[in-house]
Amino acid sequence: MTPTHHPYPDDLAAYASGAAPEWMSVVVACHMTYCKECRDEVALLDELGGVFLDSLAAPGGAPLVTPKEPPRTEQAREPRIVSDSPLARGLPRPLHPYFKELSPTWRFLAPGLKHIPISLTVGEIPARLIQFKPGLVIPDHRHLGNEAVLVLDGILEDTVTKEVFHTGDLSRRDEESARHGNVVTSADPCVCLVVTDGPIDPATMWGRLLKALTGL
Amino acid sequence: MKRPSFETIFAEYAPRVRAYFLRHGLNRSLADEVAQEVMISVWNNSDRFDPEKGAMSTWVFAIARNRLIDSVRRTRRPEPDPDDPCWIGDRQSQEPTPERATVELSRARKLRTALERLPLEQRKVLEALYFDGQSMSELAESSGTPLGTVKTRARLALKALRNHVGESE
Repeated sequence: MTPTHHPYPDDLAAYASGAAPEWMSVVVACHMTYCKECRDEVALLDELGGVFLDSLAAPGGAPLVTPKEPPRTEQAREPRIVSDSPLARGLPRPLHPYFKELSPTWRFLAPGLKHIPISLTVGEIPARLIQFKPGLVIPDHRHLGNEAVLVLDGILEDTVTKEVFHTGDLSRRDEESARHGNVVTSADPCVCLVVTDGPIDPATMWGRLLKALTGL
Repeated sequence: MKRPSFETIFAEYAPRVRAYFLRHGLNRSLADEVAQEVMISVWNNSDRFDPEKGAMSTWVFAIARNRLIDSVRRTRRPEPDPDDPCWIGDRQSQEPTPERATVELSRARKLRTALERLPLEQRKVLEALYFDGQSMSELAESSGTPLGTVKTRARLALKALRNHVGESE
């Protein structure tokens, strides 16, 4: 299934220009694994970067000295860090360098929630790989910063906007987004990459409890 | 495919790459140093390029940008991997072939033409967002333009480029 919920245009721009913070690049690269549309868009933006580079006038000042033609060395590409455990195979590769263990396993986080700790933080806030049990409700809340929830498996629905997020879809919110909530509607657990760069503002007691338990 | 000499590649791109780093706030000596490193990296990969300008620029830009991220911003920019079992869609090889180089060159030419045809304010928005790395709200503030106008200009400009590049492909 092709994703229908994409990063903000600003996210793709920041990824293409190189201005994106690491967490955003991870989210965009994971989404692109599933989304040809965004891969094509980023390829176009790279080409655009090339055209702008061509159009740069050489600045004044001392000309660069052309070094002697160096011997061409076969550049060893940096080996990709890939985990081949059955669990990791279902998770997009741009995430793999962030696993804390070669064979990641799910750990208890809160009732109905498991997580795989990853070594990616946004300021003080850890990015998380979370598994939500079927039927779990994430109570209404508002964001006081950016939030990116990338669905990697299962189905997540927004209880306010009624949007449905399948594998590869990105639920992207920021402080200007309206209050919203989620519910897992797949028969199987729903696995998401959850990244926030600011606290959430829960509307209910259960929401406040969940916030305290998960640290989100 | 004739491989260009190091001198040719250096003369063509080193001043531009240096200008790119200066534009991103590096001082002159660091910009010179990093530009040299980028050119060596380009040279080591030069058999992947079409010798004619155009297709090569995308590559040089990507190498320069990645160097800016690694060495200067000291952060990482993961990329999707076509060998990923999670991958959805075609797994078009990125390996160079003469056919591919021709297609890329033709796209680059089309893109350049399309960019030249855009209204100046749209071109400026593209340059600020996709080359200089400004966000839309930063650009709105620095240019005194309403955010909605910046968003519309970016959307229209990208649509025009996509339409033009996509023609007769």
